[in-house]
Amino acid sequence: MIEQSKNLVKFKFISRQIGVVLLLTLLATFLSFLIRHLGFTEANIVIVYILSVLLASRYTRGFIYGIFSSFIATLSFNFFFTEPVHTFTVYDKSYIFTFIIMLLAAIFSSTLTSKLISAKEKANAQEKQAQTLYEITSSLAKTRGIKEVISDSMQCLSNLFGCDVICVITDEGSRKLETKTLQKNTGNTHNSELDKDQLNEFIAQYYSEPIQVQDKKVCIICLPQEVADINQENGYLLDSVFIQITIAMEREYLNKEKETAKIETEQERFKSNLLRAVSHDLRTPLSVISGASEMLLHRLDDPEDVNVAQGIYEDSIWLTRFVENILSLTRIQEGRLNVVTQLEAVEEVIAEAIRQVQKHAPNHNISVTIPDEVVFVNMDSKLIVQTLINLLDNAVKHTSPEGDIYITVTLDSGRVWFEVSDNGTGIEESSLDRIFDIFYLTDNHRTDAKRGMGLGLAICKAIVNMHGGEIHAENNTTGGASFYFFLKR
Amino acid sequence: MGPLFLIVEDDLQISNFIRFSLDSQGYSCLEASTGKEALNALANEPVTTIILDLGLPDIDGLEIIKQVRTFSDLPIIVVSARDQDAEKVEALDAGADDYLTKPFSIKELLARIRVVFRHTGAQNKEVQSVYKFADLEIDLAKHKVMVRGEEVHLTPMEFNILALLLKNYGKVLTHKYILNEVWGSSLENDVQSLRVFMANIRRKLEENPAQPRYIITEVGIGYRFADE
Repeated sequence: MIEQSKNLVKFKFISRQIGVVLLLTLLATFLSFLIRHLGFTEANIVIVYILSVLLASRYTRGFIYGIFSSFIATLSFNFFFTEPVHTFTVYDKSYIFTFIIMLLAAIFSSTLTSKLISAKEKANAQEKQAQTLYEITSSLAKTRGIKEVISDSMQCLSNLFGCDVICVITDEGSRKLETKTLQKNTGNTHNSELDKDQLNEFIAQYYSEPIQVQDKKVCIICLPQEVADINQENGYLLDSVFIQITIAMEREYLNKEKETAKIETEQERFKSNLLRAVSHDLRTPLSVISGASEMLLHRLDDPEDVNVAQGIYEDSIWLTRFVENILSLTRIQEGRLNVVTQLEAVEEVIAEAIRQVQKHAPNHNISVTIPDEVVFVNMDSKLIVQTLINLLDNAVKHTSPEGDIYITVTLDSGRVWFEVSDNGTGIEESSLDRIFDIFYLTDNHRTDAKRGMGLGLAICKAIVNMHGGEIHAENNTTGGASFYFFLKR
Repeated sequence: MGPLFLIVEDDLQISNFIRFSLDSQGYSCLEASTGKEALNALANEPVTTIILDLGLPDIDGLEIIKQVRTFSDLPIIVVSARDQDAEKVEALDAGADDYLTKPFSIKELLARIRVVFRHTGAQNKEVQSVYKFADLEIDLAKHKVMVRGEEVHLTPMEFNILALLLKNYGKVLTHKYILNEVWGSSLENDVQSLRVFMANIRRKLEENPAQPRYIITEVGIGYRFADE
């Protein structure tokens, strides 16, 4: 079908061109008869024919018709105006020279004219392209939101090529792909769905171009196949339009990303504010509970009552630690950028941590080994104390009350290593690499008996990482577990 | 007449709990829940010791310390939350005698009170010259320090710092206070040198510097010479 109609168009075009040439030659011939009738010289007739060739070149496309016109003109001149009339032969040999000159003049002028015309047409086409591109660019620049960029692009393409435009949105992960179709006649867009498996089959029917942003296909724009052929004639218009669409899409994607990041930070801030507010408010009642239960502990005589008070006291202390950990966590999350570190003496930090832990675990034997020289490390002392407290608490929890806990500080090039080890139950091998995850408890079935410090180790890791260090855990060959972390000197 | 405590605390439960603790030791107490009430009580009652929460609804606790110090030397023990180091240091530098961090135990509170009492009592007596602790003996007049029966040599600067801590034993001294007393000035960089001096003193006096028996670090605040 298409092939046939194409041929028809071509045929119509050629016959019109030839018609123009013939008509012009006919007119020139009539004019020449008139000139001869009036008794003017033959030179005038030659000029009239050359004029006809010029006009033919002007009103036809391509220099072929110009040359064709010059042949016809020469033949007509020969046939009608040279002796013997009404034959293609000549008596006077000088006419042959006239023919040649006439032919050459006609050819030159026709090629020149057609070149000029084609140059002008090219310039016009380029101007139109530039204009179109400008319109598309400025219209895309005004759009906001990815959906709008898509509908605007479709409108532009439809206006430009006068055809239907289909856009398959491949951005979302669902199995059904949203498909928009813009009809050129009505100017309406209707939505439909396309199964993911049929995508390749579907786009093969069209001249399709995927729009990619950051190596991700956002959508596929489908145009009728004919548009691609027109595109070849139009230079790179279509490609340029697609580039403009991609640029607009990229801009929207970046905006969207920025927006999402902003919302996320706000949510994060809200979350840590909430956590902090809650933790802060928990502190005061916790102080009362621990203080009051401690007081009861000293006043009560009945051993059972003492036990109850002891339970309240220990749990309130545990909860206080937990709240401190949450507060540290919010501090880390907020202060990622502005943690104030200063040089602190390692021994002072360790002493503080031990002092805090021994308030509640006076029976555990904690031994410390530190280098002879005074070691200073850049740190937020509060947070490192918290790290050591958490590690010590963890060790206390996993050893019997008379167990041994060792803190060892060693130096290597540029690093200060802290080791907290114990001779307790150790860590299950399977959970070694997960114990630093938030809210991970090593053995869930025992949480009733020994409450986990799920947050504690996660906070240790966060704090150490924030200081540019690393933390590891391993089981000792002789039993118990060791936690190591280093800070940069 | 025994000592009279003024508990300035806006949280009723904490105030109650402190009062109970003091009652159990046979001390008498007054309670105030705002700064105004506190200043009123101070003007009208023979208060001997103040226990002051820094976060009050009307007047900043720091302001109360400054006002009290304009007319009286009576001991002030500050109570505050863990993450308020800056406020604690400010309060101590403004003239507070000691501090407690919430949640605190009764033992801690009573220990602080004992220290405060001892120092107010000591003001009237002559300045002590010889201090004896478990395995430590220091004679300030003779510049002599004995550890486990052996004499230890301290540099003059180390000795001055130790002497300052000893005169205030049991009480926390801020970095700024120590620097001002020993150096005569307190630049931010000096805190670093102070840490080095403290580390050296600890190495000479303590069996294990990371588990000090005498020279206790109050991280972010200062030092204390532990007496018990």
